[in-house]
Amino acid sequence: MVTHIRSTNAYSSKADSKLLGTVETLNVLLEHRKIMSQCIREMDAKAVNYIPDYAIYQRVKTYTLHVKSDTRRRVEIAFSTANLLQSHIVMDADSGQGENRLYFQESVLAVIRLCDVSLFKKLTDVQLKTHLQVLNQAHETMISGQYNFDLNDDDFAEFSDNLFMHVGRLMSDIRQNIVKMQSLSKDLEALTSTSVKGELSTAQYIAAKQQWLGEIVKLYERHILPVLLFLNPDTTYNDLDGLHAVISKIRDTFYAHKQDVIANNIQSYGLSFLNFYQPIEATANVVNRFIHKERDSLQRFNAIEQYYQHKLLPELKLTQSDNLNKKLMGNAAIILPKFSPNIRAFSRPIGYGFNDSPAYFKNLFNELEARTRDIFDSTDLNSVFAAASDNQESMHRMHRHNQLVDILKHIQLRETDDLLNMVHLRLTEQFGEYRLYDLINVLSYYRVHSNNANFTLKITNHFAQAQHNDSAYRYRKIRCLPIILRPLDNAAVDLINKEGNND
Amino acid sequence: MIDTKQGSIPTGNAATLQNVTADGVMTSFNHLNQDISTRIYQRFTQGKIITKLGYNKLKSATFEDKDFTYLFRFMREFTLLYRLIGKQLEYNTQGEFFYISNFSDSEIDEADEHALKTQAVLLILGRYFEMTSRSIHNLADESLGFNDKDIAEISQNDEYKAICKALRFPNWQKAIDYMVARGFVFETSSNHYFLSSAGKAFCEVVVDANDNR
Repeated sequence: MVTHIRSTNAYSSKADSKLLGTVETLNVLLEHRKIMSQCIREMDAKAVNYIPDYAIYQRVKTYTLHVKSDTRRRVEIAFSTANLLQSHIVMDADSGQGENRLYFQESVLAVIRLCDVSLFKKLTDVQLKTHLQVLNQAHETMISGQYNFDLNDDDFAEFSDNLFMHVGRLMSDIRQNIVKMQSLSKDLEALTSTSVKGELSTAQYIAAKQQWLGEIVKLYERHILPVLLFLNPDTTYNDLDGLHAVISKIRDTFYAHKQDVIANNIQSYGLSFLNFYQPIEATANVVNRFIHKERDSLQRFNAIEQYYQHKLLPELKLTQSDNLNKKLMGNAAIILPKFSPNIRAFSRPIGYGFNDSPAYFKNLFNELEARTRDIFDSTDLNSVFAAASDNQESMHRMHRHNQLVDILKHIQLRETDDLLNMVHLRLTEQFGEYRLYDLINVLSYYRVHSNNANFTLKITNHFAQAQHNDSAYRYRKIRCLPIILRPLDNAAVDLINKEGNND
Repeated sequence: MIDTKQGSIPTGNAATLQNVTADGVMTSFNHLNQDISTRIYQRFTQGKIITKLGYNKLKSATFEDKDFTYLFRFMREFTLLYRLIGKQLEYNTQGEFFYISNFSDSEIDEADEHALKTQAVLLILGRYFEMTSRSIHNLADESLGFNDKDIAEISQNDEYKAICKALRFPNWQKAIDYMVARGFVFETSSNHYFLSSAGKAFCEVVVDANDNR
């Protein structure tokens, strides 16, 4: 109690004696309508018709945190309780309930609602029924003979004014609702996209999804459907005439009493109501589709989740258990064992090149001969490796190099696509002491001396990798081709002979 | 009944390899085109499936796979052919694709690696899509599908990362490449992927199987 009063006092004392007029205050309210919008939203949420002054004070405080000082002063003055009261924006202030309640003019709230679609009050079934009852009653009094249908008669003038006020209000309510509903699909999108950002656990995802679904279904069933039903020309009620029926009846009664102007006005209202039906129906369809989509999506998600939780995850947990040999998932994680099982790549039979032609045997013996010679020659390699040690590294390298060259002089080159690979594999297999620079030595030797051995080396643009001591080295493949001196073919020989004869 | 006089390897149209199928009908291979049959065999040896609709990455268009049509037309002959080398030619109706099922009698301990990998990857793709409010139907849509960004996002999830390792994939990109190589996913020219009819069928079967429980 005490704290409230103190805060109220502090607030009113802060606003200095300067006050603003109604137009100026309304100006500020609309210019900075975020403050009022939030207050109205809070008011609607609590379903009350007042705004406590501390709520306004808080909003003003946070809102003016980042504005210029003179703007802040202007806003603070405009929103001060004293100013709101004297400018008739607030119709009553009640401090008897422990907090200072401000009752705003309904028209001021309506103006602010007009600026912000989301503040429109939703039409409920009950509100619509009330409107319908009013119209039905009006029709009954019309046919009861209570009025003489003379515009000069005050009773009748009052009645028709009242009737138009009701129809007009109903129209504006429905119109606002349509605007709101049409912006609904945007809201739906925002609703669904906010909750999918970032990582979500399954439980959170399902909870979020069910919450939207709940909200949307409520909106659809409690607000959109009743309005749609209300506007549908085919709707009938037990005890009441439907909207279009009662409006036509009222119109006909006016026509019958020669009040054509009034009847025409009523008629045009009736047409407008009919026009509203289609946009609402379109919205209803959008929402309905959305609900179905979400329901289907939940169903699909449940199916996927079922397998994810009961097949994949348990098997994943097993790989993370203390069984050190279990690193990979097993058959238990297969979701549908009958769906395309046991697909595996299989090897095609390899053809053996057995043959009995002379060329085949020649090739075979050549290969055998080359391999045998190689074995004899390369036994000397051991002496190369025996000479190396960690001390005096460069000396030993030199030594190794010289000895290697001595051996290479004996070894015959063979035709190959990848000289490095050939040498490398051979050295790796046969000698544990093999270092990579031995390979480089061999290569540089061959590049200088290959011509002596009747071979030519071609560095190609193809790359390959060599593995050595846990490292991979990338290199250009070197092709080793024999230099073949081709005999001239018969045509060329003939040509030469002819030229000789001509001479 | 195999005509042994011709040798065990059929040589072109000269081969008169004949056999009687289970239903007692004589089947001969004479009328089969050797080139097409060889190509089909090659595709199967690589562990691929053959779907009704293929996808041409360069033309960015789907096309009717001629090998599929051929298999379908001579299903009886091909079934017999593969049975003779110890394989089972299978046809999946919902996904409209052919595959070779290897009888796994000798290696009982070994997991069915293909089924494990493809199904786990498809399930996670589906789960990721549903959780980001996109339907699994979009996965199989040529114009929607998924892209590098989705793969990167899946790769960042710790649980998916662990599953990827436990499936013996070095990373998620490799997992998707595996799916592409097997024919469950098509790659388009713009680093963008979508499920083939086989991949789509799996997702549908998963949902249906759960509905019918």
